[in-house]
Amino acid sequence: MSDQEQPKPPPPPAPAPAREKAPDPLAAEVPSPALDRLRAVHGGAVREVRFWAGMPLVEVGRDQLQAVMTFLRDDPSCRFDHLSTCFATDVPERAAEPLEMTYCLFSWPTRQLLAIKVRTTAELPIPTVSGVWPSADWNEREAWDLVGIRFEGHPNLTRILLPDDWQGHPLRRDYPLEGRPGDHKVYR
Amino acid sequence: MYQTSELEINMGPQHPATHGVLRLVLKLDGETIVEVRPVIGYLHRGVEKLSENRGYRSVTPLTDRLDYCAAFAENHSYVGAVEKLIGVEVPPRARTMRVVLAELQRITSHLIWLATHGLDIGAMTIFLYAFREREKCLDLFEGYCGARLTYNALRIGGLAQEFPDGWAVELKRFLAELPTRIEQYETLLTGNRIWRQRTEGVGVIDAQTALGLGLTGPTLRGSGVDYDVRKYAPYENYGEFDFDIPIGSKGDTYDRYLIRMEEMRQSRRIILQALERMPDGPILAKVAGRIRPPSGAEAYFMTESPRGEMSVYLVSDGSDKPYRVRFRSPCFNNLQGLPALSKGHMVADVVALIGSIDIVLGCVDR
Amino acid sequence: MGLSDWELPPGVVTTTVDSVFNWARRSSLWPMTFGLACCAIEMMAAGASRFDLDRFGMGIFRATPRQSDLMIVAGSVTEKMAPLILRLWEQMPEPKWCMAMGICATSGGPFPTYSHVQGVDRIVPVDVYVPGCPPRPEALIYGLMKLQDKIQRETLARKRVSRG
Repeated sequence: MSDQEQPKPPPPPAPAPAREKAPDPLAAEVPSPALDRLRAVHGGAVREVRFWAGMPLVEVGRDQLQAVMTFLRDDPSCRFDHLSTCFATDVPERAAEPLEMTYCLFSWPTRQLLAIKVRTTAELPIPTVSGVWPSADWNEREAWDLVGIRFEGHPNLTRILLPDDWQGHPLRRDYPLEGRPGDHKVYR
Repeated sequence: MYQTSELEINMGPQHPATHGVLRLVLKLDGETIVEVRPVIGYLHRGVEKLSENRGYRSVTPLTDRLDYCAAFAENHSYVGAVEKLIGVEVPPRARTMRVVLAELQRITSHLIWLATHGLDIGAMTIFLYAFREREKCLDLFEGYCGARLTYNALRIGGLAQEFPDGWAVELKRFLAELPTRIEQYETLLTGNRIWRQRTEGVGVIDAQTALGLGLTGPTLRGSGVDYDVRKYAPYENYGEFDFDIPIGSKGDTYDRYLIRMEEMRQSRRIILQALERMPDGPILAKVAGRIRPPSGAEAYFMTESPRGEMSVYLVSDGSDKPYRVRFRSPCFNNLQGLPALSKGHMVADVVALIGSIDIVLGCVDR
Repeated sequence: MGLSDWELPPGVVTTTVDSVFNWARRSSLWPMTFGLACCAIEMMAAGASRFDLDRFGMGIFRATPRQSDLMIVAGSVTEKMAPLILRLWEQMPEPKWCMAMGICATSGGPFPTYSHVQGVDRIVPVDVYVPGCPPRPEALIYGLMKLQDKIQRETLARKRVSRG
């Protein structure tokens, strides 16, 4: 009866060996002459390098941005004469530096594509690159308008897409899609 | 004594020649322009933020409404960016079909450019003639995907449907009469003394300044460089086709006009080659039902829309909605060049320049 | 004994003042060029060679609000543009009508965002709504014909409701 020993419960299964996640083939490193030159000459400015789908994503420091950009435009093996676009992203998970600016550079002569990223906060301005490529002018105004990154040395940092008296920066993650009640006039 | 001062007047946002809700603040000395300051944002609909709240597949219809004169090109660059992000290989038949539709879109868009550019400068006849041709193109698009203006014709991984029966025959019939039609337009405009006086020497820009300002498309190629994404960063199977890139020599409005007319002929050439070499096979690659790219994936896909380089940058955070979508619109950068182009010209030349840059405000303001 | 019993000389027609005025007004509606977004392209196509609007008397798109009767709000209305739409509406002389073309002007369309006004009827009084994204030119013409029917039913006898 109760004296009888309960049958021993089966031992718990041994934990499965941790499956190693194979690195995604899209994240593989690709040869990039521009990136090699950049590392050689401005290695100190490069903080992190990743790859995706054959494009290098290079994070550089804020203070060396203008030097790096001028180098990328003028160096003979880089020759990034086309700033395709630059835009801002808000990543609140990175509490230390939530705002990020991405510059997509394309070189018509050497046909290379490169993305440069710079991180900052709402208070710290990023040096403007409108002296290197004038097309950055309006793109940086849009980044200020929608996300709130300040640019040091920009000729005319004012709102461009929203009305001048708009409060807030809509593309931030904490800004609701429908807008905040105070921002609309009577119209919405 | 008389004292003259500069006059600051407002052109737009409601104006017949600003191609949408564009406002230009002109500072004039008499009739000569001292400064042009474009004010945009009157059509800012928040599409980039809206895309962050929609699944990857649901963003495609929104892209139609951006550059509404070349909706297929917008669809194409977004769908291509998603395919690059998740590493999907589009089947060869779908790639060739996309080339056919993209070049047909180029012809359609250039027809509307021609109509509105001519109408602004004062040539009303070309408006009616070009719209007549455009209606035939729209019938073709409607026959393919059911819509005249906002197509949503692409799917991630390929296309939704095959060419209907007899569609290719209709397309060839349209292309057979296209050269005579383009010749008709050229008879109306190219040798016309008034047209040449209104467009020659207006808005001259050199290649170096144009590159710095980020101009692309025919606006850049007027200055003598042949930078075209289809040749320099080929996508789909553009590398297999034989076509020329027309370039200008002087960089003025007349050159840009000639370039776009020639581009219509080259598009016809590409379509005929593509129809001939159309491979068989599936038109849609296998893509997961819920698209969930890994966190940290980012992709930038460049295409050549009729207005210039149209590109989309996608950032993924591992969820099924894009974290950040950036639409690089050619018209946003091309419009930045307007102050440089219009220095020293007169008010009537601004109208010719806006048409020559070929802007669509949906694309500028997003 | 009614008017029909009289012997009228040829070329004389009897009707009401309302019919004549309304017929004149609906047969020569001059729209204002107010294309905001994609619907503007379909509006232009409606005015072009295939779907000719001129046969309805609406061929002349006036650029200035002072000379136009009809404001076709074709496209998305944003917060930045809203005060200007109101100003243009107030600049138009009576009698004036407004048509909301497309779903963006009707109720905000596919853009429930921070800067998009959810329907132009929050700003100006709308007579006819034409849904579609964009509506085909035939749909626009149908909307215009509905507006013509609406105008036909108006009367000069009573003072028109104040249009704010």
